[in-house]
Amino acid sequence: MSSLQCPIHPDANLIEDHRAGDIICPECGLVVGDRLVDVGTEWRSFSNEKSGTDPSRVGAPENPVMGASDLSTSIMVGFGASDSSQGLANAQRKNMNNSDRQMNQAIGIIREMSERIHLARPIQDSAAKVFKQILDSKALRGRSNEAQAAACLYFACRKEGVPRTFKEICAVSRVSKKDIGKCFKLILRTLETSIEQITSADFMSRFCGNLDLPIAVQTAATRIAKKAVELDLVAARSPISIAAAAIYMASQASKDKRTAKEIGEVAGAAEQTIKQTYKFLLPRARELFPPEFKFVTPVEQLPAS
Amino acid sequence: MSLEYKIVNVVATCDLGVRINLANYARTNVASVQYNPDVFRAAITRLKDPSSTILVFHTGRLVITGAKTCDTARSQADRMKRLLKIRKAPMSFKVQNIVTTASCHKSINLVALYAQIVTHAQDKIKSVTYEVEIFSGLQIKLNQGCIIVFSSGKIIVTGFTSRSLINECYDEISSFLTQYGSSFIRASSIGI
Repeated sequence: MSSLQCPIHPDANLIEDHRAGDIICPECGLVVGDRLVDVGTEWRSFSNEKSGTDPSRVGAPENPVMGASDLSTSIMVGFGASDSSQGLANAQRKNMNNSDRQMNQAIGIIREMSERIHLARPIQDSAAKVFKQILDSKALRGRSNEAQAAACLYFACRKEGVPRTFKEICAVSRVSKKDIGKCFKLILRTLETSIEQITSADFMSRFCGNLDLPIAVQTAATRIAKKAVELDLVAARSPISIAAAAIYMASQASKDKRTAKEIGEVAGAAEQTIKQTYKFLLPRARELFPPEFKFVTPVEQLPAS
Repeated sequence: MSLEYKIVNVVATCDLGVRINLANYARTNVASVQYNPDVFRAAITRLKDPSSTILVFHTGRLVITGAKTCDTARSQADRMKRLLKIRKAPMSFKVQNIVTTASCHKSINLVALYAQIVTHAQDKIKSVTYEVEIFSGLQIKLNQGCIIVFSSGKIIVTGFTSRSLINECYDEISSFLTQYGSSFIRASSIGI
């Protein structure tokens, strides 16, 4: 297109007329190029159309994650088809590269897992990219596809700054936490990256949302957790336990009280752990709460365990 | 800050050089020998005073665990030789692993320690891992051995095969603690 010029007005910006398939000079109206190939879609197919076959002759765009050989056109064999079409379908299946098949399978697993915990598309794509990298490096050879996919998903969530706990990923995967953890460590070693450590704040909005707690309680819990870490009251505890204990304290001081058991179910922390961590927070409770917090249950009356 | 360590376990292997009939051996020493060939193909001998556990294989090889010093492990191997009534001297004796523990008596902020190691000590170590959800300790893998640090200040050094290597390792740890310790050692001592 850029090599076309109006012979009389070489500097003019040419206009494309899609209806006629022409390129026209705006100054003098000369048709500079014709028979313009329309690169739009050939057919539009609507879901309510009763036509048996889809006349569109093109498939999905090329997916860089899947490797260059991904042609999403596949030979479909109808019921009671002739042998030749069966043969073609088998040939295509056989021809498919092993790594492509694994990649397809993994992408399917990642999509399914992400659907269940409502993860955004960019995270899924990031996880697929990570999977492709480790597939190429052959580092996680002996591990099951499911474990690798789950670990990639965990890694992608962490990398994008929206970490999910191992237990949350476990909940949507068949694999045990131990296997996902092992695969995750191998991924870190293969990709030679280091990622941010998790903090309590990463999980606050999700845990509080799942417990139907109002935003005031959420902000209070976030501040309690942050202050607790600053004041070093909870030295050896995992950020998830700290978050859970902070939510417990904030909710018990507000109108919407939640039991440690309910919080434990949402956060994936044991009830005893939450209570024990809460015991560390209790002595300095007054300093931990944000100053504007409206106490329904005052600090003195917070439960002792 | 000098770190005093205690050896907690020594694992060693030994080859006695002759084939052993494990069934006979188990029959004659019912009290201290367990032999279930369908479960595991070795006789498990538990000795007391000093206590240790020894696996005896029918090829004449032994695995000695639970000894508290390398010399104990060696003496246990000799003891086994007498127990099995073997006249040949044990052919090869090799310490495979020494597990040691130590404490720096201060509580440690592992997140800060991780950050310090990543920035300052990458050349000496193979890898460092700190994943709270997976394991509560910070694990440092070295070329030969492994160090695990807990937030209570307790340290485990394992994977080395000789005292000199262990001493070197502990010296490195001490110097790292004194050099960068201010950023990750908590002022308060352990009371958790």
